[in-house]
Amino acid sequence: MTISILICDDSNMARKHLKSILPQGWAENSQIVKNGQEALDVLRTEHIDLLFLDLTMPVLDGFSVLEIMQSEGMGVNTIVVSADIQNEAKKTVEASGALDFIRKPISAGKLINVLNKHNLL
Amino acid sequence: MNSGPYFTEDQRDYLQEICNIGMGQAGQSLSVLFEQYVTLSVPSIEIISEKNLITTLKRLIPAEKISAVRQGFYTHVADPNICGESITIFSKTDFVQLAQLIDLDEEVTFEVEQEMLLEISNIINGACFSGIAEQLSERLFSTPPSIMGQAIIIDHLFNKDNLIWDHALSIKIHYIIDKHSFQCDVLLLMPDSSVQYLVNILNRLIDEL
Amino acid sequence: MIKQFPYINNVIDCLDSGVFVIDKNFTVHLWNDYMAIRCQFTSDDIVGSSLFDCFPELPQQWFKRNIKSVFLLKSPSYSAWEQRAYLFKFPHGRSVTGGVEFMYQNCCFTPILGQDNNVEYVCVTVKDVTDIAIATLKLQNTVTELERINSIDGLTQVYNRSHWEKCFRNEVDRVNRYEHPVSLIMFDMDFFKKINDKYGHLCGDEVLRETTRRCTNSLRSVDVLGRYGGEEFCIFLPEVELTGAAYLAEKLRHIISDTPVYYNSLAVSISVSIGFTCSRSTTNNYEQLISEADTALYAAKNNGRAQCISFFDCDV
Repeated sequence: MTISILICDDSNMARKHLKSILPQGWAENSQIVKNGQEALDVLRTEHIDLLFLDLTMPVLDGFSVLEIMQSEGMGVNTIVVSADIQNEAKKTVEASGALDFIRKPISAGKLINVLNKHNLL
Repeated sequence: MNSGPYFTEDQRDYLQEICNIGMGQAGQSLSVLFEQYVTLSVPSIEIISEKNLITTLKRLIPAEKISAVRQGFYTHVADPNICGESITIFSKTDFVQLAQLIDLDEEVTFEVEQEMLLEISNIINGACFSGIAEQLSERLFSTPPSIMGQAIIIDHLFNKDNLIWDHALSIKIHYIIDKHSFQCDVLLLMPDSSVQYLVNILNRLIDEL
Repeated sequence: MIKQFPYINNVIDCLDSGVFVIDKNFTVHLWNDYMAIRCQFTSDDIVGSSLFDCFPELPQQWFKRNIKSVFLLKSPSYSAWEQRAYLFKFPHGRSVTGGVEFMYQNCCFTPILGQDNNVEYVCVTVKDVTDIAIATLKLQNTVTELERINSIDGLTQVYNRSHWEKCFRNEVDRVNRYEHPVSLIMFDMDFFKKINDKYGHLCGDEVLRETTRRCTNSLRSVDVLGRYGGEEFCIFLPEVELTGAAYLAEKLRHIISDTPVYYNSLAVSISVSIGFTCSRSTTNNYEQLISEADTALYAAKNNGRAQCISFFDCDV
């Protein structure tokens, strides 16, 4: 299965790191954007199978992106990847329609587990 | 942000990410301890020169009167090392709310107010140092906290003769606990000598990526 | 971590600080000689028991709160003598010369991690800082006394000019911020040079002292009196408007001058000239108010002395 994914994070390091631990040959297309606004621009014009979304970003943060996606009925599969790991953050994010929540720093193992859990592999 | 002569784009980006993750851990620990949601701002990083210290602080913390607590941190004592100070700044402190937050059962006197400032600072710093240390794969030790001043203006915060560095790395984090109208700013300050050691650590981590 | 030394326990007992270890239920697991010597519990007595059972007067809630954060955050917690004089009421070494009844303490609560990297115990160290505390407190008292001396006029014991002006400036700031009034009275001894020439300077000194005494007795505790010049005094009256100032000025004039000042066997008659003014709105300037009171005082002098004149009655 080859899918197209979008990585949204303001940190270059975080984007590089995530890209480097993606399973080999799994994602045909992977794009990166630096903030929530850029992510929405891509999501509105292209088909994306899976979005990896950071929470704390300038211009438009992760929480806002989820809210907007929910209100516009976008229905894109989203996995939130964040340093903010308090329970309330997790609950808010899941209530806004995210599939799952991975705490940074992400390891390859954690990523595979989550992808398996949601049958995305 | 002025990276000065110290950080490359990659190093700066990595440092920012480390701070974000470290703060995420800190927020988690604090929320468990206080049983409240703790909001942490994205850490803002800049290089401050000793000449501009007061003006920079006034820009970062626009408050007339502040109370401040200092606490030292270090990796290990032998050179080269990371050695710095954290300054926790309280600009609007409602001591009644603070007492509720920490579940105080004593009468609030001047000494108790001071003790609360010290206690909160120590807790926040403890969480903060652990969070960052883990990302750097180092151990961070701390010294006991002490009060720099209570209800003073920023100009009176430092004794200029004691500032023996030229530039310092400053990492500023803003903490809010909504339910108790609590907020404070923490500035982690590291003078030039420590920054080089930090740069070495960052390079090592970037290479491992 | 220290390499294992066979007499490690003796070392812990040699330490010049109290050291003890508790678990999350506050059961004591280690208690060194320093602690044992200063209280009624030896290591055998207390190890295995609850700390609070043995020391019921410990601030339990404070203790529990601090220990909780050590367990959760895996980082140390502290107590400092400046905020909390002691945790344990121990005697200290300066029982003869010290002047205090107990030991001042700085304490540190350090996590001890177990195999699973979670905190299993907390190690508490109790340091005697009585000497530092006594020296610091003494220094603070000396500084306070110096400040007091610096702000007081030696002869009359009322505020000197620079301190009074500082207070007045603060009051005017407050007035401008909160729109509450303040009045200012300035008075000057009449023919003071003549008193000095006729009766001598020592008599003149007593006149000044008695005048300020009479004045102080008639003022409220919030009113602030200061010696502005050789024989000139200023008073500011918070929350007092012009009519109040006029009333008080006249009252003061009588209190000061209705009875003579007695010095040795002399009865020296005195009188004062008084000028007064009041703040308006929220844009007052303290120097301007002083200048107004001065203008009114000058008018009183010119008009025959021994009287009170308001700035607002002056032809400016």
